[in-house]
Amino acid sequence: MMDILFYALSALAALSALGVVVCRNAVNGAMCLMLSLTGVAGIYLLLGSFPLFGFQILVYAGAIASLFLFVIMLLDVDQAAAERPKALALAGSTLAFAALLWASLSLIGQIDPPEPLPAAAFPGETAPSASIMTLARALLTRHMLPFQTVGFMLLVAMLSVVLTSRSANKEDQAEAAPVESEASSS
Amino acid sequence: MSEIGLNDCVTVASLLFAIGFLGVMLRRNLLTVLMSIELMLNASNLLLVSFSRYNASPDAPMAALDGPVFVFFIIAVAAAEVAIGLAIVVALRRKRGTVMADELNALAN
Repeated sequence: MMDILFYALSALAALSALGVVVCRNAVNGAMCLMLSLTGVAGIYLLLGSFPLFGFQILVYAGAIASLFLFVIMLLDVDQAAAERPKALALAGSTLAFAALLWASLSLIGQIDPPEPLPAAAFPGETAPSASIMTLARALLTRHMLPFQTVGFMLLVAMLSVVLTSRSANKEDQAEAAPVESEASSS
Repeated sequence: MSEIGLNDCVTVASLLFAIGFLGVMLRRNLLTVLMSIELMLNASNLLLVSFSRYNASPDAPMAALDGPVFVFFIIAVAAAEVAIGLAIVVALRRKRGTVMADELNALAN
């Protein structure tokens, strides 16, 4: 059952990723991205990290992909000027894609991977898939410094977005882009 | 997870990464390029989570969560990067009137 789920979710993730690359319409590409991110969230669920499953859907598929959709609709990319890939670019990109894929897949099977331990092997409540408390405990003790730094970085990112969206031209002030305030999600 | 091993997760992650890489190389629309970069980030996140899952041991229970915690940080960084990248694209569109990479071929007009 888990195998079928895993294959279905990875097929969803990979095919929608292909859809992002192939779709001419940027809105279709953003929707395919949302689908792919949800597929990867399902794989996180199968791998036992439940808080990551939630964060992936909330932040990645829910906020980041929606932000893409907002900006695509704001910019209103002209469909008549849709790009046709040049033959050389298509050939070169496909060759690079195949080379990268072959290089990554040839590394598989070189080492025998260890068997994953079931959650019962961990003493007490310390299994990674036990609850969100394990993630919270690790985040607030072992990884406190990166946690605070990432918070500070999000503040800086928010300020940068506000500054970038402002225009030096006084006439453009009236049509300044709306401030993205989605950085408060984590 | 009966017969799904580490190799299967690595295969999926490599496939996602290669597809994202194809999108970055092939597409000229800046927004699609940004979306492909997000796909690559997702692939590396998946790799981190799967390696952490398959190498977890009860001798170091805190270290078993290094993967998911790192992915948590990467998701936050990706959010910030997308916000700033899209603000840059909007400003670029306002200045140059286009979001196609091959038409943005001058640093200053």
